[in-house]
Amino acid sequence: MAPRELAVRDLHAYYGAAHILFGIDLAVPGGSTLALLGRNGAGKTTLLRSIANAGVRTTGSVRYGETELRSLAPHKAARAGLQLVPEDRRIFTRLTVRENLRLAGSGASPDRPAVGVDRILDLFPMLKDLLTRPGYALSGGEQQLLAIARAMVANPALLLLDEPSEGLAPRIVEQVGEAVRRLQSEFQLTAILAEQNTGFAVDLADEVCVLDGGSVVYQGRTSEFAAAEAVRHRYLAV
Amino acid sequence: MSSPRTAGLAVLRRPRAPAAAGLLTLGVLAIAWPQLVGSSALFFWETTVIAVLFATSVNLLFGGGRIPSFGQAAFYGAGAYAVAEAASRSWPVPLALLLAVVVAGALAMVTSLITWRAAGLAFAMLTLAIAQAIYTLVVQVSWLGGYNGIPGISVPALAGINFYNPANLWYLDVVCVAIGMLVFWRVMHSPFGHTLNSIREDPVRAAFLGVNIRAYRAVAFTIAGCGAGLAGGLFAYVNQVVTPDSLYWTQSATPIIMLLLGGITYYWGPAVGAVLLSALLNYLTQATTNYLLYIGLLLLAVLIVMPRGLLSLPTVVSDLWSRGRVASGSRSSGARTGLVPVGSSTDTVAMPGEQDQENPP
Repeated sequence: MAPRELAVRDLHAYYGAAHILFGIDLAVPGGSTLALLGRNGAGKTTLLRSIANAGVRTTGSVRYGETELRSLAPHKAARAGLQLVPEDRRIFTRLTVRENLRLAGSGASPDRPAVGVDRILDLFPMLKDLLTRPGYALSGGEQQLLAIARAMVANPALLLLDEPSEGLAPRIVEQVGEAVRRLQSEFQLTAILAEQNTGFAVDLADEVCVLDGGSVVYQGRTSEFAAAEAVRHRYLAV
Repeated sequence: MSSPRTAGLAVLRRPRAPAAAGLLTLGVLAIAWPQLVGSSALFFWETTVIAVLFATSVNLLFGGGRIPSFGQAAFYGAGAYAVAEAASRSWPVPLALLLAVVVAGALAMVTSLITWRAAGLAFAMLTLAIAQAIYTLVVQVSWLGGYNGIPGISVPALAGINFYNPANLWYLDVVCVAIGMLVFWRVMHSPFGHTLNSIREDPVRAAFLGVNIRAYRAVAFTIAGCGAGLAGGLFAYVNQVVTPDSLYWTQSATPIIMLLLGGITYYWGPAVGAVLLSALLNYLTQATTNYLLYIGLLLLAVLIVMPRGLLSLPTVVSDLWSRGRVASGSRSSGARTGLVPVGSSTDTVAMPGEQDQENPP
């Protein structure tokens, strides 16, 4: 089934009494990739966690096609086509790479059957030599690739990637970028890529959204973003 | 008669030589055991292998999926009472044991549905409460014999084998336990077992990958209940009398102590713990009335020195040994003082933190 639009309307998010996101409005057209940019603490991770209903109290609406994601239990959201690759990767350390990949098949939805582990390994050839290695014995880059590959086994229609390049050597970041590019061409999916690495994210995205202080301060096509010097200087320059 | 332990070999996908040799030894021992220990000691060993199966079934919950059930006695007792009832109607042995498995499994399934939304301590207390409620109910039911239970359980002959011969009863016991152990080995090493491990390690992440945590927990609980039922049913045949004691909460606690002793993360951990605890109880109760004190001290010592149980002894020793080598190495070359060769920080994995969201919405 073709990927659908993700529409976020007037989304407020809270951790306890702390108000983190202030009325986010955001639309990601079906099949496109959005780069979610912003400084540390701008609310990128909270926005992804709010969309995935991952332990954040929210008001407003998050619709993927006709499905309201905010009312779904996590395993049901996965079966509706959502996969979140969290910043800390959360590899199952006591399971091998193959076991990590295989168990993710339970997240497939009826209209988008799971991708075989073999097909995923063709897209992530680096993992082929690591299949019997336990999760705790992987390097940071290997973990990141496994986390993305694991999410892809379920054949998601909506993929949320939280800082996939964080803490990785430049050569590994290139490999992660290659993997994301292959996913975009091989699978039809709507994706959000939250990143502090602006160049890395913009290269992979069709649209750009900039967050600051829990609000959207810019949204546009990547081609327009290249010209938006003032936005980059004001909200992204360190 | 074929060895019950070696029967498992055919199913192991890649039987490595030491594992095969170990299973073969167990099989030979099982066949020769009645001659080795004599018929008077067989009762003790029969109850011990039953405890091995019971503890292994409990470990599917604790070790497999971090499902803290304090009420497994309910299913053990259900299996025992089922066999007692079946035996009084002269049901054949396989049918009676099947009834034990089905009754215990059904009761476990109902329990898992009642406790569907609970996790952690709340789940533990609910299972304890349900098991104690069943105990209280059973002591008041006259056709189940009240406090006196059901005595005089006999094992009908099966295919010409007479179970009044103690050795034959031992073989029946060992074959059934071996089958049960094999089933649990298969379950723990199947994709279902791996998913259960993922829930144990990080339930939140598992849920976000699409795993229906509550359903998996319920299925694991039901399978463990079936195993407890088989153990209880065998115990009814071996003990020849079933009393409400088999349903009491101490019966739930014993296998937990066994798997803590042996090691919760090892398949053979509960078995090692069961043999050790059974043997200790057997000898200590003859020697002193303070046996519980010594059992408690032993458990304390094991948990302090080897928190992962007795089977972690090789790991603990090799850790100590390598630490000793690093310490002496650093003394001989002052420049390396304080360096511990555990790999660069980017090559190691931080263990996932404690989950604050044990049971996601």
